[in-house]
Amino acid sequence: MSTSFITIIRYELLQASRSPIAFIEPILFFMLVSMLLPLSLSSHIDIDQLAIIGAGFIWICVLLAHLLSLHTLFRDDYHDGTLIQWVLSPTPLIYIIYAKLISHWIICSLPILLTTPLWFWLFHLPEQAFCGFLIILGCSTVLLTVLCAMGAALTVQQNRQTILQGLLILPWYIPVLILASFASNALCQQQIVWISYTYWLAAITTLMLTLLPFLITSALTMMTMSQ
Amino acid sequence: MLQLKQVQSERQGRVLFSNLSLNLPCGTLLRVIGSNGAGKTTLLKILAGIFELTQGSIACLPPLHANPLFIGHELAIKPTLTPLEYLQTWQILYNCQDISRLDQVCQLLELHELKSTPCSQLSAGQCQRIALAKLWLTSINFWVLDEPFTALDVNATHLIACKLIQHTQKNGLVIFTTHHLPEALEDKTQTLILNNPFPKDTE
Repeated sequence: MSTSFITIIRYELLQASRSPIAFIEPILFFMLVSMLLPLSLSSHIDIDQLAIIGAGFIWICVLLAHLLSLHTLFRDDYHDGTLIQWVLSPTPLIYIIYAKLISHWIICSLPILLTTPLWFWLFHLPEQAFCGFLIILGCSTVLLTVLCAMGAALTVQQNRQTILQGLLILPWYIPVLILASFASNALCQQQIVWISYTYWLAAITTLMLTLLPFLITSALTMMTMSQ
Repeated sequence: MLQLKQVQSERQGRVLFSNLSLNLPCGTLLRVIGSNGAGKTTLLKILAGIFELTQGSIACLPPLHANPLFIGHELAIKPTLTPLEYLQTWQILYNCQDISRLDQVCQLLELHELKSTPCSQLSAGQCQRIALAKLWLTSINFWVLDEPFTALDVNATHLIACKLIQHTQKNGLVIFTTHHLPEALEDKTQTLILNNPFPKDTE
């Protein structure tokens, strides 16, 4: 079973590496939006205010970058018959879904994590907050990947990317947005309370990472089996 | 053995077929024929367990495998990957034991020169061959094939036809659709005719 798990991750990464737009699109969008903010504000506010705005704004950029790449998750697999092959295969679908989620996180979220030093410098965020930021960002991108996968699974029959997917995910993302921005603000002001926010975020992430893949699996099975 | 009892299928409020009862023992080669839109693909997907039934029941009795090998119109081939990568992944996902056989099969189906060409550069017939290579790799004894001879040349058609006969001789069950039956299969197949060119409304 572990072989098929690794095989799917390799299969997905191989596909992404052959058409690198899958890697590039979310990160390019993320960089573009986060770079434009300091440019548009710089003459009116001082550096401390920029740090506060930037620490909150970054979570909206993360959300939008994930929404942008959401359509690549299951739609091709649904339309080219890959999902049928997966449903019929002796490998349980839940294994494949977990492998898919991991590879999607590597393709879409990891590049965002890697650019952290850049926007830290752009927003003049305090250096001692760096590790804390990585932890919060890691948790929330994992959660966001699972939520996006749920949205993608439920709208897999739609031919085009619709606003529906965004609307499906948004209510789920709001708690993440609140916790993550509270935590990052507290972190920038060097208040120890950021740890408790991060604990909550990690708890929600663990819960969703355990439950949602089962929901995604049954949604995809239902979508494949409905006529 | 595959048992169908009073199977009915609807699609968008139209009854495609109803009261379909069949007993298919292992070793049967069943060809489903019917005009376009008669419900051949739907029936095949029902038999494969992909579509749910609106009425009736299907029982898949041992030694038949519950999940068939299904090759449909959508070949599930990714345009950026090579045939070799595609088939290797498929083998691992379907727990194929004999991984070394892949080379021989590629040789047999004349795919060995295309092994590292991206599938987007291959013709429809070549893609069909890649999908049909699974017939040699699998250990599943229940095959459901939707138009397996589409886009194949004479040699490949003959090769596949022989493989189907060989499989039924080994007590496998094959259900397929085709509009043009290869000569080799002519006296070996049983035929199921779906004849419902103008499906009436359920109301």
